Amino acid sequence: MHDLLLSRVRLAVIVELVPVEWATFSDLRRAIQTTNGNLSAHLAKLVDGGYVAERKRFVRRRPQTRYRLTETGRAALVQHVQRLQALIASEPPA
Amino acid sequence: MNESTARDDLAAVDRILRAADRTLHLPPLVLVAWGLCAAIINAVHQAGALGFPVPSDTSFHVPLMLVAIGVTVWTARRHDAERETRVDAQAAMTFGVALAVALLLNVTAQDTVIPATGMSLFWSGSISIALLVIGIQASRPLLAGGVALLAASALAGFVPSWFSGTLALGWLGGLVVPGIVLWRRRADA
Repeated sequence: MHDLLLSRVRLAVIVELVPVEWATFSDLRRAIQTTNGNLSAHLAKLVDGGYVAERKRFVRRRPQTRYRLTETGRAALVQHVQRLQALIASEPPA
Repeated sequence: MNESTARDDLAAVDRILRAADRTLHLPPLVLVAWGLCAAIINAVHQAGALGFPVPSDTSFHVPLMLVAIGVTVWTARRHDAERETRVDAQAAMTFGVALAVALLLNVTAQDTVIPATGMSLFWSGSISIALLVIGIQASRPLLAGGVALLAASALAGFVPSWFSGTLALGWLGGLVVPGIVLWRRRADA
């Protein structure tokens, strides 16, 4: 398992970024329904881990932070999902 | 991690991917600006063909295109979308390439190799391709616009005396009307 993806919030962030080129902080916060502080902390870990790329810019004089899934993050998600599926398949039926 | 958590995580992944926004967020103002620019150029050509006094091509082509380019750059800088979907990126690339190719040939070949009417047809053909490619994937208004512009381009050849007028109508139906439709949809959302 990828340790960074064991958190439900971080997993949700990565999956939210799969079908888009980029998403803003506020868009991710709305989609994942968490607090600014919580999302900031999780995003910082994903950026530090190289799973997500961060870009800051100004739009109409307001700061905007955009996030993009990196190839490392995409590959990690695929592996993580495969391992989750393998874990489920390996469990004997109840 | 146990099986139950793994199932919950996979269900969450599935839920997010199913609900993902894959729609087009193209700024409608860009469509309207380029549509009006092209429609005005063709309408002036038509007026000239009907015998009305019209300004020389260079005196209004370049300013109109500069306005359209300026509006595109200004809109892109102010575009405050919360996310860019794959189809948004593809639309930007498709329209960008179509405009760049048409603009390059317009500057280098018009009147030396390609006559003005041929260049008009090249512009409408290349933009209708872009509209159809993006419209088929993600937007009915753009698809309808692409069909309208392509139909006008095809029809224009059969009515030489109204060639430019037909193209002007094609540009209005191909870019301006879809732009207004997308604008109203955005306002209603």
